[in-house]
Amino acid sequence: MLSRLTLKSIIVSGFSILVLMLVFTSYSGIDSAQQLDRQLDNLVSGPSERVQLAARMRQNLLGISAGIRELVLAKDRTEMQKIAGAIDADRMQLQERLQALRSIVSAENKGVLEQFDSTFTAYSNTVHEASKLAQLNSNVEASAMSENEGERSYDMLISLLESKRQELIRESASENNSERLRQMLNQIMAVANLQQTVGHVQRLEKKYILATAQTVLTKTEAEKNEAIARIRNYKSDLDELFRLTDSGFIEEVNRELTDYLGVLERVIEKSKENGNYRAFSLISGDGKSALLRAEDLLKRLVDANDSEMESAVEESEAYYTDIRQQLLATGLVSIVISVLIAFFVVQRINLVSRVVARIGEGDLMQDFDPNANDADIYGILRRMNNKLQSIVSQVKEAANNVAAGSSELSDTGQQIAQGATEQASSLEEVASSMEQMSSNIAHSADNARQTEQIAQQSATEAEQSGKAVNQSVGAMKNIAEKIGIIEEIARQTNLLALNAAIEAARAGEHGKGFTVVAAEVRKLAERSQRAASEIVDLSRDSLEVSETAGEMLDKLVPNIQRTSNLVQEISASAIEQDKGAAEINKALQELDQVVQQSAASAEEMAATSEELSAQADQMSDTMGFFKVDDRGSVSRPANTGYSRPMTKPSLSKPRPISPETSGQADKGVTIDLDDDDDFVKY
Amino acid sequence: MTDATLERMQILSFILDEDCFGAEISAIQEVIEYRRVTSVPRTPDFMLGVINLRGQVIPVVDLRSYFGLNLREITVDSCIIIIEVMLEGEPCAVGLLADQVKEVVEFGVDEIKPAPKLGNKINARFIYGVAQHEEDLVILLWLSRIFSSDELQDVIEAGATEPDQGEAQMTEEGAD
Repeated sequence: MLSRLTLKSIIVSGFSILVLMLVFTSYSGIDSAQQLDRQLDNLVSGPSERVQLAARMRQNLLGISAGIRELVLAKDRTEMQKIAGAIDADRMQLQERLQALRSIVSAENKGVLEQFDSTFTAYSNTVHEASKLAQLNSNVEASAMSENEGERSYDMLISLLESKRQELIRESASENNSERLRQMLNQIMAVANLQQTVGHVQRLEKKYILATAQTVLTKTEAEKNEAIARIRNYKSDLDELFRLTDSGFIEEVNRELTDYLGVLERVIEKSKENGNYRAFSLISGDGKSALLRAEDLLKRLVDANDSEMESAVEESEAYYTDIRQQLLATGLVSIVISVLIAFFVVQRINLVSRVVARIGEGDLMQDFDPNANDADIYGILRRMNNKLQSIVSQVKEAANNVAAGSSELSDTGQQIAQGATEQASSLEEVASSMEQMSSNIAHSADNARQTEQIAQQSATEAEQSGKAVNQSVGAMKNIAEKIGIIEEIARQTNLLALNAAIEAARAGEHGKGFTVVAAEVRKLAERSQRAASEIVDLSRDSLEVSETAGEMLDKLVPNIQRTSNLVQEISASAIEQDKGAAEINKALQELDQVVQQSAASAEEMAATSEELSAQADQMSDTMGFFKVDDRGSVSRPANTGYSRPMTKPSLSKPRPISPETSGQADKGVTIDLDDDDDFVKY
Repeated sequence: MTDATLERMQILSFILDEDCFGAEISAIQEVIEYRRVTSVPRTPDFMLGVINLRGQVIPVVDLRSYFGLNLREITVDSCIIIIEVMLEGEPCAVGLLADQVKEVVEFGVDEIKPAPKLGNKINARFIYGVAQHEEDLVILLWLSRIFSSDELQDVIEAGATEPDQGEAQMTEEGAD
């Protein structure tokens, strides 16, 4: 049954099945992917979303906590603002996310969320406070102020004082006045005291800035106040001492000192704010606990959502396992089918290959499965094989025919050559007879000329005889006329005699003698009538003859004329014949050449037919490569010269030269008889 | 024809349409050559017409036509035989057209055989007998019987018994 299927149908059906399976698999895969995607979507929009929100909220939270710490530590105002802004942003984001989460949170987690909300609000307030405090940036500002303005003013004051002191020292070195010297020394000391105290105050300022604990601050302030009081004292001393000599210097010192003290006061005020520290303590205290609580709540949310996600994941996994099994099964089936198909296809192809290989080696005698489908490649090969068989046997036959024909051709060629030789010899004969003919023609031309002359003469003579004959005819007519008269007379005489006889009869006895006379007269009349009629006949005959002669002569004359003309034509044509004969001679020579050529061609043809025969042999040999059913074919005998093959009657196309063939067959029969061993010769 | 009591009869033999006929000489006046015949209107076919013979108007009869024989053309041998017949007791001359006049022959009475009844174109009544002369068979005509029939009588009358017309004709046409 399988052999009935064509290779094409096997391949097509196999591929279609595979394609179907593929489609099914793809469809299943796509479907399950879709399912998983939906699951995923659910997951994402559900628990995962929640987790994400919670995580992000945690992030925000952490951001805020980090931010506020940074803010506390920050020194630069713009930086602080930036950080404050970031904190605000984080806070707003978190609020948003909180709103979002509120809408998607599950029922059991709502409580947690609300708790978180309140916790976060508290924390947020704390942060806000801390931020405000931090932004006061008191410590930093104070420090900055101290470093910049403070240092500057301090430096200016100190440098002023120092330069004055150095100046005074220098002046004092060269001052001899002891009073002045003592004044200068006092001045130097006052300046030095002021310097020192200002230095101390400066140190105290620094200490104040660094102080964070309130106790320290208070103590430092007391010290500072005390130092400032001392400064004022020393200042008044200085005023006193330099009032007279250097009021300008006093004014400068006033200015600088006022300036420095102002700055100092400001710094201290700023330091007192202690915003940064307060912010920091706020953060580290309430803020931290609130933060921790909020974080914990968020974690709880996350955990709750985590479990939800886990269950969703399990579902997906189960679904995945199902699908995997299905697809594996489909895959296996597909593999099995493809293997089967491949097997069948390969089998068929192998079969075909084998068959084709053998055909390629020339074996056309393979057995083919008759059940195979005609449309299949195997069936087609079968047809091809059959066709090849028939073609090969036909070709073999044809080769044989060609060989036979070529040998005949060579025979014919020989014949032609022979014929050509005969032709050549007969041409020579013809040539010689042509010469003879030429001479004959010349001779006849001459004769014609003579004949013409004679003819002319005859014409004239014939005319003359014609005239003579006419004359004799005329004479004869005359005679006939005269004889007619005599006849008439004889007749009338007869009648008279008759009448006389009648009268005599009527006269009876008396008329007897008269009857005799009448009878005699009648006889005479009859005799003369007879004679006259004979003469008439004779003359008529002669007349006829003469007339005939005359007519003939008359006819003769034009005939002679015609003869003369004809003879002229003859002589003219004789001349032409002569020319023609010459041309014929020429043509004969050419013909001779042609004949020789044809003889040569015939030889060539014989040679070519030999070649052809050889080629036919070769073709037969080549065809011998193919093994076909040789029962009906003819095996050709070896090509010995121009021998003819013996043909058996089983050949489909009888050769056209059958009589000779049958003759050959007869000879063959004869030979067979001779060779038959059963017949013993006595 | 007179009674055949004589031993020998003299017969004039003549030919009508290749058949040889004979008539007794006693009835025959003469034989003349053929001459132009003046036809007479309202006459039967066998009545050829009339001729003028030496002043006498003679009707000419064509026995061939009368007997229903084949008519032959007029030749040099054609003759008119003038015979004498009795018409109402009076002799009357009548001309017979003959293709050829042969001769006067003498027959013995014993030579005359009777005519055969059948196979003859001519009514047997008109035949006197048959005689053998040399090779020919001469049919002897009974002229009196022929010319005693009413037809011929009328014809002859029409031709002969009107001498006034005849003379008038004669004068018109002149002699012969």
